[in-house]
Amino acid sequence: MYVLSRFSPRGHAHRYIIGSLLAFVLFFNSVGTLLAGTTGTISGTVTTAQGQGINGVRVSAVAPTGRYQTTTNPQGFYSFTGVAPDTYTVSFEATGYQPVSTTGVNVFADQVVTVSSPLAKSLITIGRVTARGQGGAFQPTQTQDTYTVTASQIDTQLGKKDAVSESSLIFTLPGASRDSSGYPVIRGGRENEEGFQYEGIPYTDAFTNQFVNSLALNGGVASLQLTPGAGDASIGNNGTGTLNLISKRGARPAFGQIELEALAFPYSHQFQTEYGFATPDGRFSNYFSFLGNRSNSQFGPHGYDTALNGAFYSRIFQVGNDFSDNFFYKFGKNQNQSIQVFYENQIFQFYNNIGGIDQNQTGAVGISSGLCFRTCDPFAFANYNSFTNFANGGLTQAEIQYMMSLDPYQTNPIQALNRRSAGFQPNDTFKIQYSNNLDASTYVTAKYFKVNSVVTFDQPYTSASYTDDVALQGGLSTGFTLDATKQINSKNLLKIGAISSFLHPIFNFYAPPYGLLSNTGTFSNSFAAFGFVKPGDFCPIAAFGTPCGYLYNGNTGGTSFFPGGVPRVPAYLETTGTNRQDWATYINDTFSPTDKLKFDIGMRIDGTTNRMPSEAPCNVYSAASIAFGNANNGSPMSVDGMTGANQCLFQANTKDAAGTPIVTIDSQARHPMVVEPRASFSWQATRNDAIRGSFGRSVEFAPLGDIDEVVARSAYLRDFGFIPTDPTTVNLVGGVGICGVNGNAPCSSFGEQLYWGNQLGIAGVPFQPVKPETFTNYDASFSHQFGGNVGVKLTPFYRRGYDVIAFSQLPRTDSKGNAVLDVNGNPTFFPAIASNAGINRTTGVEFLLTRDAAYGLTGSLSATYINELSNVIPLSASEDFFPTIPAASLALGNVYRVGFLSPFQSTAAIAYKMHSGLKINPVFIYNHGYPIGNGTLTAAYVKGVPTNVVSTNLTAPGGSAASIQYVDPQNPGSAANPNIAATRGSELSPSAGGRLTMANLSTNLGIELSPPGSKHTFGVFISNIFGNVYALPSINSRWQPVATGIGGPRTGYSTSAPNGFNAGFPGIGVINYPAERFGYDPFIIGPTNQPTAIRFYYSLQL
Amino acid sequence: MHSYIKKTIGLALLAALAACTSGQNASEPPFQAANLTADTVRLAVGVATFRAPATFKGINTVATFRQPSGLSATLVNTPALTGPFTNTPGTACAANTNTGTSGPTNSGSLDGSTGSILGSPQVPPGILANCTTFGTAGGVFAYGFAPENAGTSGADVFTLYAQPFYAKAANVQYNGSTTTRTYKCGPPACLLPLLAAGSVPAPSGFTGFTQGFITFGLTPVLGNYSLSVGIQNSTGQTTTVTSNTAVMASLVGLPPYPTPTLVSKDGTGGIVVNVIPPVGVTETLVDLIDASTGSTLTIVVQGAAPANVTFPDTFVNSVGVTTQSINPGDTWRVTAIGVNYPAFEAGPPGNTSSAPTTTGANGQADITFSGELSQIY
Repeated sequence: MYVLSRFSPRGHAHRYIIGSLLAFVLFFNSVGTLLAGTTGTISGTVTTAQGQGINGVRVSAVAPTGRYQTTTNPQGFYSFTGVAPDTYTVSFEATGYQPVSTTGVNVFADQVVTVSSPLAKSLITIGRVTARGQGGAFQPTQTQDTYTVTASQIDTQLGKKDAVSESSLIFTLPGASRDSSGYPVIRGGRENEEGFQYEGIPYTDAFTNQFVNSLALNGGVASLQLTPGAGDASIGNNGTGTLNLISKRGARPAFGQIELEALAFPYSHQFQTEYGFATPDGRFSNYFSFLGNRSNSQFGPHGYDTALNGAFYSRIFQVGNDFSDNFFYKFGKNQNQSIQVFYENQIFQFYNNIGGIDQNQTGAVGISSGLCFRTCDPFAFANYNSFTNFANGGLTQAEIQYMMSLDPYQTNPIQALNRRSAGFQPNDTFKIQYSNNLDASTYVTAKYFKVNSVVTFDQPYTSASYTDDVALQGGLSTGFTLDATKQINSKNLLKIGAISSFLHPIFNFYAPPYGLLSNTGTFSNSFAAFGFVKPGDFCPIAAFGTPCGYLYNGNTGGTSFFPGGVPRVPAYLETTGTNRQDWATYINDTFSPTDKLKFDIGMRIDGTTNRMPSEAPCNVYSAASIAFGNANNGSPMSVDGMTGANQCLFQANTKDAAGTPIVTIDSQARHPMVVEPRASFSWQATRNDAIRGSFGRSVEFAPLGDIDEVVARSAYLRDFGFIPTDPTTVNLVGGVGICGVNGNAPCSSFGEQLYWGNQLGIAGVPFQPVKPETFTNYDASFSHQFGGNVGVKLTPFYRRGYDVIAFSQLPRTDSKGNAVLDVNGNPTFFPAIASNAGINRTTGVEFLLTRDAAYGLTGSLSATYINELSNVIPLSASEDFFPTIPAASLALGNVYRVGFLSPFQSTAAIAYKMHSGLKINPVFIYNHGYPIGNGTLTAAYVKGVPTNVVSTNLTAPGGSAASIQYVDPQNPGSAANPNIAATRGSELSPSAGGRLTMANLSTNLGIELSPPGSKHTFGVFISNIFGNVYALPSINSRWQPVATGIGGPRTGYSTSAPNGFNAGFPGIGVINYPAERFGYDPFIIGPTNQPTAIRFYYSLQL
Repeated sequence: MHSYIKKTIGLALLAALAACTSGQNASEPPFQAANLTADTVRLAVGVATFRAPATFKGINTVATFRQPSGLSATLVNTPALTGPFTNTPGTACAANTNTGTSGPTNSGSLDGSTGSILGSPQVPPGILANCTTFGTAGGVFAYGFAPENAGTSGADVFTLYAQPFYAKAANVQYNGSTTTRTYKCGPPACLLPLLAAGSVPAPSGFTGFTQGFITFGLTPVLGNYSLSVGIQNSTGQTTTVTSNTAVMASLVGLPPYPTPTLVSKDGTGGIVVNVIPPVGVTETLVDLIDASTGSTLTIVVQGAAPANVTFPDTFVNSVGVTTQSINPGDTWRVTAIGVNYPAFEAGPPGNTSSAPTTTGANGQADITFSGELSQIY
């Protein structure tokens, strides 16, 4: 399975509400993903100076985006629910009392703000203004561990106005980390184990559950909220945490700006504009934003040759357009109802270099007019030739061209590329939402949403993977939600809601070379099925006599297998057809016995239905299949396997009473339903000290990319179904069949044989149902407010994962339960499938220090320490995005510290604001180093026993190229006790990733002038000010071991590289091109980051 | 103002820290190189007596290049053997093949007629390597010369030289037209290590340890012989380590070794043969090869007395599988190699000395080969 990561994102009303929700749940019979909210609550108590509640006080909350009014009850309590996030002035007026106003009341989504005040009959000092730094560290009434940054804070965090890197912003928040691939993760979760939402819409794609918005801000983000851990009961299917972006709204007075930004080198320019307004009566409001960006990429220092820096296939040019609009129409009494229409349309196009050079360079490999498709590329051909192990030698280039299917953009097999490797990442999102403030304390809202995001990965020349491919990945999600908030009384705020959503994934991976290579034994679990290709090889139809062969007949005449024309080998085509129906419901009560103490108690249920085919045919056996299977492979074959109509698409995972393997699918894999209790509290112990804590269970449903791995079958059966099976093809345990999900059933035809060779060799078992993973989250915080508006918050946390999803292999057993061994006595395994065998235990500490001030120093210091344990091998491929656990390591129960995280990351975003309008805004980004290196031990089977053996060039996964220790060729020792004659020379640890790179501190600097009263802003932003252009070091896969720490003269070169390799790269000549790429040392680094860049920008306030 | 200055200083310190640490986690991990001067090169020379079809006396060498631990000093090196001999021009390039080498070679033999037998420094692809006897693949390791220089894909090359070099000149024959063969020490004398692990298959080619000697079909000449080893690193620097001088003081050598005779075979895999060491032989390595499977068994006979040598029915191969020594119907071959030095004791897997004894009482490493006893089992 090939999953590709994205680039670089009132009154009695409550009874009515509950009844409506129940009806809603029943109506849908499936009530996805429950979403983080987009509104908050303001409540409080108005008292006399003596502390007695005052009845009938007129309370108003006013901000540019909205106005709310109510009166206090006899106990002096009031509440506003469904309040749009903004900064409010809350005013209290009552006859006979001095009016009081509290300014700077920040409302964030899903948060309850308490604003209480005493009123005096004589003039008194106004009650203390509770306004603190927006999103400051000291938030004494927050029960959840939530970090919120507003639009102005975003500018400070990123060092400039209108910066577009959403991932950089996320990294500035405690609990969020930059993984080794550059993607944001929350508390060490994987890239697709986090909830990602924009304006309450789930912004994850239907196939991988990865973010869909390219991690780019478009200026329209009013605030970003990070909730590590479970959050409250209103948040679901969010794994290890949730990111929630809230869009700006139109307001009065209107606001807007135009910003222009330019950068000479690397080339970049950007245009961004926004405008928001509201009519005088507030009935209509609208906000729109647009971002257009064109930039190219320079990897390494200025002037450095891309071809030499290792940035193969990296981005060289990017085009981005992002439009969003947020419209509100308010109506009804006091405009208590509203219709919101939100729409965003993004498309980001990423163009990559090809092997370090542009595709249109002449004189490149293959042909004189430009890069060629793989079939006419000598270097690619050399690989193909070495992989095609036929009796009469490998395929010739002409034969490969003849057999291989064409790329979708190809019209003949020897044409120039004329296109770059590229990614097209469009996304359109729509929401229509109805909201009704039934009264000041009752808020109901319903919305319909749609997210359509399908990425196209076009990789026409990818030497690294021996294939060109075109892949579509993503899907369509639609859903309907209903949420209500009711302030039941002065102490209880009830939230209830439900959702139903439908996920239609799209995955279409088309790779012509895989079709050829998988059938010729290149990949594990695939088989040399094309044994009749060349004259003298297996002749499948005796009547054709000799010589016969696929290509012989096609090329030279004679009796042909294919009277209608010789077909090309079908391209590998993996698709998906499983849809998913999600549902959820929740209830949460915020209980506030006092203004200082608050509890959130909630429960939610998340469920889903994976619409897979039935497993019933898998459990049907005939006497013949049982006899045949037992005789050949020690276990029965399904009847379908015998007839050639094998439609069993699930792997057998248990045995019946007679020892016959059968398929049983756990209901939690087909129709999972997860109950998630949530509880949290906050207590403001003193005026400046607060503690909080939370417990919550969270769930992450298996991405459909884990479950559905189906390869298109029809072309194989159509073109090759009439040819008898190649009897010379044997399975891994020496049996006669390679078909069926276990790779050991007899095949009905050569077409069937080809299909299963591809299905199992590349994609795996077609359907791999797996239970959702769940997490139990604990955290607690202590926060303190210092003078000078400085707040700090310290949050230790612990998370344990259950049923964590990873691909793994189960050992084969016969009908008596005994291990099926290969000819060397080692156990054999079923093809890898998604499993719940993963382990995850994470502890850590988050720290946040904030200071907010109109002038002088403002900003934040955030830090995250994390210690995450997992049974996925550190630094293994796809460690945090569809990982795989090797069977021996799994059997041993090995647990490792993860390899994709720096254990400590910190960001200091500091702005110094002067009265002149000058702002100096450095941003310091620190990490304590990332794990590197393969370990000195590796898990392997030795005589059938899983053992942690010394890792050498004989035992390391990846073999010699990835090894760090090398045995003496004349006295190698044993696998368990090798004689190590040389190592790479670095201090090594037993576990992969057991060492850290050195610490790093990089810096950006923004300087901006916005004179008071002026509409003009001028700025300069210097990114990567100290020119840190190097990526993380990695093992040099082309290191020639001479002695410990000493590489040989061929270091940097592939042993198999043909001699003409150098000459294929124009301008490079005969210089040590590959060695320049791979370096001379045991470990290598590439200058793959952007160099220092200076951006100038201008912004006009409209 | 005071506060402002403090803040400014604070920011400056942060900036300085950033400047000092910027990019450091992108640094390569520090690594330490081995001390090559601690390694030891040893060379012994002697007379090699070949039996078939007629007695021919050539040159025998026993070279060792070891770390203090006794393991091979390096995984890639370039040997240069020099002495008073005259070698044969134009015949060496055939040996210049190895996966560690992909560049074509210059025509002709660089070391022909020069009194030197050389290896070639490895070169990047696209550059011509010199044509030499050992080529770019050949180096000297813990026990002898071998085409085992590691490539960039690793060091799992378990190939031994077929010998003697320059066999055509020596006109030796072991089995009809077969003029050269490899010499391995297999079980039961040298138990094979269990190399297979998990999904990593056992490396091909390791069916026995080297017996250490390398012979040449060149006429031995009295005088001093020397071995120097060049070790190139990735940046083009070469470190040279030179051996002590080996002296060829006598050209007499050992008498031809009589061909072993079959005593019995049990039909279940084993046989018994009789060997009669000639005068001067102190140790005999008796090899049994199943020509069909390639498996090699070795038994060491100490001393000069005739002996019956019993090859067992089975042995355990390098992937841990018990295997029949000779399969029914297979052709088997037995040869005896007599030496006047502790050939078995000086080699792996048992010897861990950095400078093992590789000469006999006469200060030479003389060797004599029997004819081949061959039958179908």
